[in-house]
Amino acid sequence: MSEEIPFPKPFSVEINASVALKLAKIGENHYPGTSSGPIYGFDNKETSVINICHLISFPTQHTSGDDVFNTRSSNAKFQTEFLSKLRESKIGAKLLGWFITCISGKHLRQTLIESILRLQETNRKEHRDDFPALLVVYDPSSALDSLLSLKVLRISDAFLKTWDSETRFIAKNLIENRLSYKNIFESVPATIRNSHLINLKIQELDISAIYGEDLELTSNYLNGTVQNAEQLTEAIDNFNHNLGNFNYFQRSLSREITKVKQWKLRAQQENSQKLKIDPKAQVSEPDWTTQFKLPQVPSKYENLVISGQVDSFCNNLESTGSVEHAKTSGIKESLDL
Amino acid sequence: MSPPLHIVKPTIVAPLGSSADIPITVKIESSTLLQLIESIYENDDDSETQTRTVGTLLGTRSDDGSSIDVKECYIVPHKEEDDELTIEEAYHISTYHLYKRANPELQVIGWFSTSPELDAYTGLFHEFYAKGSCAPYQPVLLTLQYREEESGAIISPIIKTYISSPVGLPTYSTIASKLNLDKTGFYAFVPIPNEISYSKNELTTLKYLSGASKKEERSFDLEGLDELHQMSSAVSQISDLIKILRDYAGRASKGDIKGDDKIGQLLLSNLNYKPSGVDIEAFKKDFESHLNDTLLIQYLASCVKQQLDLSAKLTNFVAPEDAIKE
Repeated sequence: MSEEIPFPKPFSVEINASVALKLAKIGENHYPGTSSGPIYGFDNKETSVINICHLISFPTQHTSGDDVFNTRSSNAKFQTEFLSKLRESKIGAKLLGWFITCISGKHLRQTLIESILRLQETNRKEHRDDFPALLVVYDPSSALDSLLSLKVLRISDAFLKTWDSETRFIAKNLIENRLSYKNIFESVPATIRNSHLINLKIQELDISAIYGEDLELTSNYLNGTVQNAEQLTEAIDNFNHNLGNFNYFQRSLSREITKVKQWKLRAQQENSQKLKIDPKAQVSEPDWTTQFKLPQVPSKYENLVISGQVDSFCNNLESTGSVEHAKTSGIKESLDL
Repeated sequence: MSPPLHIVKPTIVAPLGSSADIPITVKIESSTLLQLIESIYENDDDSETQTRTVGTLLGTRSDDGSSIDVKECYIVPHKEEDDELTIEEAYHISTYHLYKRANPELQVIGWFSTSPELDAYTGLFHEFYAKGSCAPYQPVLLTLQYREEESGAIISPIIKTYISSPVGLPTYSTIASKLNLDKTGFYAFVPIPNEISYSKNELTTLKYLSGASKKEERSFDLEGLDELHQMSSAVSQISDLIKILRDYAGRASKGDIKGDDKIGQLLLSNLNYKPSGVDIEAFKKDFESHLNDTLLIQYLASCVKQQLDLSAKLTNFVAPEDAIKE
């Protein structure tokens, strides 16, 4: 199972300017909701550059349940249909992964991780393609404060190794692979590139003349923080639930272990007594597995993903807080309050 | 004797008969604009059957039909052979339905071409959209010109939008049938104004694209794009601007240069602003408490993180079978 993962490294991602802008628009249209969809493009094996040149949002968004990325959902069919459309218009492209527009942290969900793993697996098996599947995360809320938050992520090697090993998320694997909730995903070096014609047009548009509100105090901070805090509480609730399960598991496991040990001891005593009475008697080594059943392990995978969420939401709060802090202090100083 | 020439005044609302006298403007979303420009690169110059790339424009019409928003576009394959034009209609329709599924409000509002020329093929394309998916509305034609007409040099793409009206006698006219005139594909194209619209989020991204446009490599790195970095660059940008303004004001007051009245007025109205009707003490207090709230949130968030880290170190998952061996 645990074969080497032969991804070519280092590789980088190039995003077409139109894609970056479309993403901003899609994110804004769905804000404060979450939206996602497939991204298409091509990879260049010689230069190790993946180019993202198209995207479209899914018809079914995150309003009902968590099955957006499900292979059985209508979205999966939609993304294949759109790909064939691109190919028919002679645009050489393939499915590279997905984008998601949300506050950082919400992309950490099991269905999404599994979809990416599945796509990677299919690419490798069917197309002999070693490039990892990508996830582009765009946060529309910070753009309202004139900050750009755009990341290109892939599943980390540490996670892949752990996932591919037979025992998966036990402590030994986590330590050996250096996997923690902080590095389920890792970011990929990425650039956004203007084509020559776009470059000319953008220079002509002269965006810098349009007034930016980078340093203004807006109510957006409040909205963002409330949204973030709500997500955080929800994540912490889930986390506690998972931890509760784990504690219950540990208690019942230690109870079972004591029982097993007592039973083993008794069996050995019985055996030695039998041997005392009749040295030729047939004795069998006690096998506890026939007598006892150990409790089911709760999912460490789930714990990892939720921890990642909690961590990301806290990071968001810290970074938006520090920006607000800097802004407020600046204004306070200049107003001489 | 040649038949008289009728030119119907172009209206977007209905093909015929509508008397609405509304100016029509086309608004192109900036993200779609970039998509359109990128489609120029799909031009296959070696192909003999294609002199341009064409495609469908999707968007919305305002209720009175006076303004049109262009929101999406996609390329439709076609072939130009002598007098024949083949458009992949099935492709056009099914792709439209895909986009419509993602965004139900989208309608076919017209088409685009990467050739600025209005020739016979343009008429044929236009007819395809006018009689097809755009009916009963008039389609909008958007052209992109990226080469200078005479020198052929690459230029910043020029976007033009047109609407059309049929030229000549109506198809059902008895004179036309008597004279046996072929009445297809004749349109007079009337240019209409277009503008580019920017949303808040688009502007934020565009700011970076614009920064990249001044660089040799035409790109910018997403690495190190954290919030505080972005803010500090905004601060230095503003302080540069203030420096320039100061310098300018200084020189103007010395009489070295003649000051612009407009700038003077702007400065006066902005700098003279005194918050009246605001209780300074209460304001100060509000400010202080907001600052404290912000700090508290940061502190609590870091506490949660520490707890989480601790919990991760303490929660070790051991397979139960391994646990029993010890």
